[in-house]
Formats: sequence, structure tokens, C-alpha cells
Amino acid sequence: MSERCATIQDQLPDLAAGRLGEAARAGVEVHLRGCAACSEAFETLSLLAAAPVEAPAGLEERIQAAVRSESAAARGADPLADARPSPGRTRLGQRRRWMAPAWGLAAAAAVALLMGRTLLPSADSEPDLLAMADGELPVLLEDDAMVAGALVLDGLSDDDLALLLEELER
Amino acid sequence: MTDSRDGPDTPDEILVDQAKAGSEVALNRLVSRHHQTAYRVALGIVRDPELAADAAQDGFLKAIQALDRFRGDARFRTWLLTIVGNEARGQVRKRGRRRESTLDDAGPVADRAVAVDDGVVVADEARRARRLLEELPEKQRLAVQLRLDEGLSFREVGEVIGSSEGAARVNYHHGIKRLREMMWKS
Repeated sequence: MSERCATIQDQLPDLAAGRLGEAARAGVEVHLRGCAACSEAFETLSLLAAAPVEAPAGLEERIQAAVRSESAAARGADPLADARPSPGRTRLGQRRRWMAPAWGLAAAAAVALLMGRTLLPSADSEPDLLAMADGELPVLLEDDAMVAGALVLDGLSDDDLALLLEELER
Repeated sequence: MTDSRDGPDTPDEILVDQAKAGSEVALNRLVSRHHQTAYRVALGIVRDPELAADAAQDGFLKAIQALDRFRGDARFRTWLLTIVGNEARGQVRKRGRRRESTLDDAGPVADRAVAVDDGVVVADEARRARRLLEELPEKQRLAVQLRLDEGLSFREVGEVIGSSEGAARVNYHHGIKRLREMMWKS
């Protein structure tokens, strides 16, 4: 590809999408008339541009509601006061706020259980703290739930978590 | 509280400042302005409309949570799309699968009967091009999509797909070339 073609091809997406200014457009169009390779690339881009993918109806409002709720929660207001929950989707902020105390306690319990199981001497094995530090615990921490034990608890239902909390409070 | 009812062309950076100060109007405007792009980027990765909508929403939420840490080194849109892209990849990992989607699954495709060279593009042919785009490797697909649909520079494309500017350009050119070959083969 010549240097001129490379420069032109960089501009073709903007031409196909109608973003190119008049002067630049005229220059590119002159080149396209004499260059088969660039014309073919432009034809492909124009086809793509003719069928843009659009977000499903209602996504904008759904995200706005979730963001509003998240923002209210961050400011300390009650996000449920003006909540407009999105259909079929738990809001990240709402779920995190509701579960924050539960996650803290439950995660502590899960880690304690895990550590206890690992540290208790068994008949046939010694606890391998180095291996745990190298590979096992970080797995628990890498998920974006941001708390240790999240993966262990992720499969529990709300009811199971409530039961676990009751157990912990006794 | 600062408000942002000062025009639809208010730059993102101003809206971000207003959103940091607590303006819901500014937040709404940022969502209105970028939700389509966020959805398309997510769809380009997860290839499932429902997962893409979830990833777009969660990406926005994470961006809002991290808004105070946004210093304006990159454009807000690039920063947001990087977060959405990471969120989408995280969803793919969690689900452990990528469901192949047809274009019908992928959300509405707007028919724009535009003139190309000396003819009118048939909408079916345009849909076919989109369908074939889905078959490209992820980085090529995203490079074409982000450059064409979103008007990102190659440097910004690189930031979103996690590569250098040069690699983003190469991915874009390979993507177009390969798409062209696929269109004439099938």
C-alpha cells in the first residue's frame, strides 16, 4: 500500500460515516476514482455504515435509572426512595448497598472457615501456607465483588445468606 | 448544585465536572450521549444482546463509582469504553462462553439506504456485511467497529482494545481486508 493510500484509508471510515469535512472529502473522492484498492475498502465500509447496530429500546432509561440510584447511594441518600428498577436486572448499586453488611460478615465467616480448614492438622497432610499464598487466596480476591470469599458465597441465595447471618449473630 | 442545562453541545469534560458535583442532569446527559456506543462495544465483545446491555449498564455504574478518579488524561468516552470493554470481557469469563449471535439477535439494525458509488446499497447486503464482521477475531472486529461506528482515532482504539496505536491500525486494516475477502467468497 502506498503512503498516499495509507493516508486515504485512514480517512475512509470518516467518509463512510459522513464525518469528513467538505475539503477533505473532495480530496479522498478524487483518489477513490483512480484507486481500486481504496474504492473496495470504501465500499465495504459504506455497507457497514448503512446498517448500524443500535441499542435495544429502553436501555438509555434503564442505565439512567441505575446511575441515578448509584449516585444517590454514593451521596448517602436512600436509593430506594426514587428507585426505578430496571426490568429483570438488579442494580449494581442497590445490590451492593443492601448486601454490604452481609458481605462483610459472611466473607469473614467464609475466610475463617477456609483458613480453619486449611490450618487444621490432618492425618495425611500438612497445611501448605506457601501454596495458599501463591495461588489460592488471590483467586478469591480477584473477582470484582471486591471481598474475600465472594466466589465461595456467590452461589448462595438471598435466603441462604440470611440464614448464614443468623448463624453468625448467635 | 451546578446544573448542565446549558446546551446539548456541552463537552463531556464539563458534564463530568458537573456530575462530580452531583448533577443528575449531567449524568443523564452522559448516559444519553454514550449508551449506544457502550452497548455496541460490549456487543462486539460478548456477542449477546442481553449480556451486552448488562455490560453497558455495569460499565456505566463502575465509571460513575470511579468518576472522582477520572483526571481527564484521556477523553471521557475512551475511558468509559475501556471500562465497558473490561466489564464485557469479565462477563464473558464469568459465563465461560460466547454465544454466537446472528444479526437479528444483535439488536435493531437501522436501514439507511445510502448511495455508494453508482448504486443504492441493498439493505440485505449491508446486514450481511455486519454479520460477516461478527466473524472476525475480536481485536479486528472492535478496531473496525470503533473506528467506523464511533469515530475513535487509532490511538483511542488502541486504548480500548488494549494495544498500541500501531497495532490498532494493523488490526483495522486486516479486518477490512479480511471482511472484503469473506464478502466475495460467500
